[in-house]
Amino acid sequence: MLGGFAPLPLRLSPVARTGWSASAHARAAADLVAAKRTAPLAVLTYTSSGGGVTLHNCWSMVEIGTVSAYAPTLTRSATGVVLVTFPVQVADEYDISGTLCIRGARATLNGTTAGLRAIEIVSPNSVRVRTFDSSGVAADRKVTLKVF
Amino acid sequence: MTITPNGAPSWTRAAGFADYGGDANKANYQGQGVVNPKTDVGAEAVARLTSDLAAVVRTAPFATLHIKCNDSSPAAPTVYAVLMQTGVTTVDYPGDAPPTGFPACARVSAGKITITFSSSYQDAYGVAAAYGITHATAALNGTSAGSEAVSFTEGGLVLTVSFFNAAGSALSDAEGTIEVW
Repeated sequence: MLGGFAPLPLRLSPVARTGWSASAHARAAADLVAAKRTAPLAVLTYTSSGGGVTLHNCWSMVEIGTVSAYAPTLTRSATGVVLVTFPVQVADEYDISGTLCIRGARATLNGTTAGLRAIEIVSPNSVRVRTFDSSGVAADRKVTLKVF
Repeated sequence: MTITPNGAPSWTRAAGFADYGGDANKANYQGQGVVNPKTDVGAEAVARLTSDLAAVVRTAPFATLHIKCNDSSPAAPTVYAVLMQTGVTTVDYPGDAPPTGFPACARVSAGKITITFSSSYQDAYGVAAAYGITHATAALNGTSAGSEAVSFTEGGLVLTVSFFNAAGSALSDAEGTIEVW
């Protein structure tokens, strides 16, 4: 049955309109792996203030959204100090789970005034962001955080 | 185009693994697995590929730009490079004369620029979808201390980027790398 009317397993074929050639499949596989290596784990934008912290948007590898089992929890512990915590384990669409391991992060201040920020990777699934004014005094800010 | 691709273009972040051919119960036809891995792609591979592709597409930046502000001789910023989901530049361009499909950039004041995107773009199959800014980051390039900030309205088309020196004042002729989602 293999390739008879193209059920899976897909028989690689050089006919571009109706098949997938070995060379095209090879390029897709290599490029997808390359893209995965540098793709952000998540990007999110939040605002911290005296009233707490508001998560405006969160786009992660597992979903687009701010309210679900996989959305990060944001906690403000002091002026400008926000802890972003992701679930320890995340499952893909096939319910195959993997443990998160954050390798890096970068924050950008939103707004039109100068300021500083510092990133601390607290654990494999959490990042602490500290924001300051341009003099180095702690200050609440709107922040876009990218996590790898 | 004889077929229309499933789902919507990547920057809408709307396509899921099923749009790429994934299925939670994906299986090889009649349980027959791959006979020759050099010539066959099995359900297991399709399942992993579709899930990983959906994951990467969710967080991929829509555009990454390398820009230099022109303040000493006030002019539109110079755009050194743009890597967009819809295409990449190969040569520099002045921000006020972008090639078709690439964002325009304007000088606001010293160290401060705007980048304007289109409200709609087309994917490789000519499928159009709306675009609006949801996230943005910037990084000051160079050898001196400083900082940067981005400003945009969620869903809007204009990103304002400000660069500052170590004292928090506007930084003339700043150069930076900017990402938008």
